Amino acid sequence: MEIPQKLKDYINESRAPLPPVTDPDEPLQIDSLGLIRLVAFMESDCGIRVEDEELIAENFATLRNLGDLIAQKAQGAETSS
Amino acid sequence: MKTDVLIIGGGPGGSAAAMLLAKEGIKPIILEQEEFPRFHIGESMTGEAGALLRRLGLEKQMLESEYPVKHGVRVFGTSSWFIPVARRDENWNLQSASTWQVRRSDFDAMMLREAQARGATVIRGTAAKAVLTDDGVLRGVVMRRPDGSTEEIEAQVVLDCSGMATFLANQKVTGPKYVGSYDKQIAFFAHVKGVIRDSETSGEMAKDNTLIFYKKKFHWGWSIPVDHEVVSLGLVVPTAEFVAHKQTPNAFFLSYLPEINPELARRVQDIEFVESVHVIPNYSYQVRGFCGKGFICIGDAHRFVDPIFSFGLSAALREAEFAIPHVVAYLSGEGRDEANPFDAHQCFCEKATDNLEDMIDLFWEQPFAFSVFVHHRYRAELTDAFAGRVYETEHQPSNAILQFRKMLKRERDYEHPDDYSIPIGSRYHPERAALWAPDSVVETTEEWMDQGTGQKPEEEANKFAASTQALGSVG
Repeated sequence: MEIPQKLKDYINESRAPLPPVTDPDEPLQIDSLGLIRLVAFMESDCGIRVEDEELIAENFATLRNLGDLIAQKAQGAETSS
Repeated sequence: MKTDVLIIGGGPGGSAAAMLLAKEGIKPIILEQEEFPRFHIGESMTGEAGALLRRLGLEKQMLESEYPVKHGVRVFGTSSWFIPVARRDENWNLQSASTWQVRRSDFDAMMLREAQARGATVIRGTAAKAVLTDDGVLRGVVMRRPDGSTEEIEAQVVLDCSGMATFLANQKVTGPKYVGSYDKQIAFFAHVKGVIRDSETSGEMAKDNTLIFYKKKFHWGWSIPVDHEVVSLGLVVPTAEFVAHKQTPNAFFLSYLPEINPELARRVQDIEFVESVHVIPNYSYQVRGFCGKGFICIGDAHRFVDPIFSFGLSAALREAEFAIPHVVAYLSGEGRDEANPFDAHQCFCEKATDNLEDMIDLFWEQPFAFSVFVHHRYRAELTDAFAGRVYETEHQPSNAILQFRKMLKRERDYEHPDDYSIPIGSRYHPERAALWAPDSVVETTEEWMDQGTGQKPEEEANKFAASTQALGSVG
């Protein structure tokens, strides 16, 4: 599953003054407070619930990892429904 | 000599127990070997500990003593956060509250004086030996006076409030004493002047809050004010780190503190010791079977997990409070035929400390998840835990604690009498092995329990302690 555009935008804003992310494997370099806010944004604005067990910094390290997490969650939701 | 209740140790746990017994018309004997005032570490109280002091009618003394007022705990690390001291009102809503930081030499002396004023008899002496009858009922101790003479003190109940000395465990009256999961840590601490504090009188930036600093796993420090000028400053690292530095405790303390966290470095640039650096290695342990016929161990006398979130003093005070109704019932003849008349109390205390242990473990094991929890997901639950509300109620263990357990892949089962006393707190337990680098001399609990060839951890700990003592404490 694709990362929603507004989440990408949010990530790029969080990274400022760093330039927007282009490479999916580029470290996002968001500090821990930024990551906490990112999780809150995903839940409140993107409707993506991050489970406690998924709160591992690695899941939020790159766009690819984050995309994998979202895809995995979408798949899990399909399987269970 | 004969008494209903004998309390070994005149620290806050012993004194609180004595005051609570006095309320029930029971006047215990307290055995205290040291002359007060004396230094002791553990200066910070939770909100619930402060509330207990108020219940004991000690608020006036606390205010007159002008102890620093704690409004919360600030943590500086890979993520930074603040948890306020908060109480629950009658509708279970969180309300802001405050508690105290205490210089233990003053506070402990005040508590012991108060216990004496309310009817306890304080005797200077050492509990030298536990006296057991044949059927395993503890019926007292042999006391050794400072002049060397001895006397038996017979008691119906002995409350072991001996702290880290773990008198009854050392006497093998209890079950075995296991090494805890933070036993490879070493703590350095001293009272110092010149630490930079925050400047406000309440809230997150209050000048007398507890500050905790860390940068990486198992490396941390604390700053806890004990008066308007002096701060208790502490440093905790893996013992191996200290050994590798080949420094005296004093030199290591001074040079390592700024490395813990830039925020700590900023605050300790110009400090002056008011007394020597103290060292406690291998502090983590858990005593199995710490209650039994005629005895209850309270606070550090049966368990010490880790000092990071300042639960020690509160645990001693609260466990004393919870123990008293059981003691009163026992004195009136209840439970005399039971294998362990204080079994319910033992399990109750163990569960509460397990809640704290799971929280501390998750803090180190999954720092990112913990920071999300503390910022919003489980903020109320963690506020309760930091206030010391960890004892079983309809609210405890909280959802947060149950979730932490899941994340740590840990189960706690209290159904079977033996289950809760499994040495879960031991790093020698296979479950715990992941917490530590696999360089332990013993790999499994079974091996440690002398079914294998491993060296006993007690010997190992003594060896460590001896090597640290040899380096001495330097002022």
